Amino acid sequence: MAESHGHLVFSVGNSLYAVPADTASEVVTVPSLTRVPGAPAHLLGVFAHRGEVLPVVDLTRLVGTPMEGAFRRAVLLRTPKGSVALTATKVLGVATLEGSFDRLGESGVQQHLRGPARAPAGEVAVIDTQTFIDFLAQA
Amino acid sequence: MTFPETLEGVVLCQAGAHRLAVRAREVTDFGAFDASAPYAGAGFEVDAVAPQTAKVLRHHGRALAVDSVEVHAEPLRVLRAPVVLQHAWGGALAGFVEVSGQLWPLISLERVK
Repeated sequence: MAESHGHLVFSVGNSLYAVPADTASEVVTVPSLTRVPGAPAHLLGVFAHRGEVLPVVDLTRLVGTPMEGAFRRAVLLRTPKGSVALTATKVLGVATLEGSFDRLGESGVQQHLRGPARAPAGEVAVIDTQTFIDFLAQA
Repeated sequence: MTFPETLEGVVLCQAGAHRLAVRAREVTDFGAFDASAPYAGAGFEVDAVAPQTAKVLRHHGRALAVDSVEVHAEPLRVLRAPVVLQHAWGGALAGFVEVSGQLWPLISLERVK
């Protein structure tokens, strides 16, 4: 059992995810996206934000349960290795998480998700921001 | 490539409903339909085969077929590609340019396979 302070919790479809609050720079409304040739399916496209090109990552496609319809919101995740916008159905706010922070799997994106942790809203998969960007870059 | 890079002359292309740009100085020849040229639409999963009306951009031995081309002569700043896209299209993505409020993926013809 562990406890971790300050994670931003958000839902994507019926699943809850969290990132350390200090890596979540803002929540944005997703504008019209520009598709990128040769990009994997989970990279929905890019948009310009304050002079920077940001890729939008659809977590539902990444975990293999794609949702129909467009996402209107995204959480901007900024790390020393790069920045991405993660699709979000609803942003629930910053919470203290309890429970397990073990890897949820040994392959694919599951290697970069930790848990099951618990937030007031329910069970949460915590994104390992240290390795997640590298994983996306190689995917 | 060093950033920020400024381009003077880009070729703005369409493949289906999608946009891409190529440095004008990279284009050594424009041509008509050529069935052997890879179609940019395949990169967007629009269609694997270029239509008969496609235009072909050439860079020495490399070629890329697109639906339409338009030369943009105004200087444009190249925006860096996000790290998660560094391998997109076999590494042919060289950044982005912004024209009329829209982003255009900048493709390096010499890296198109």
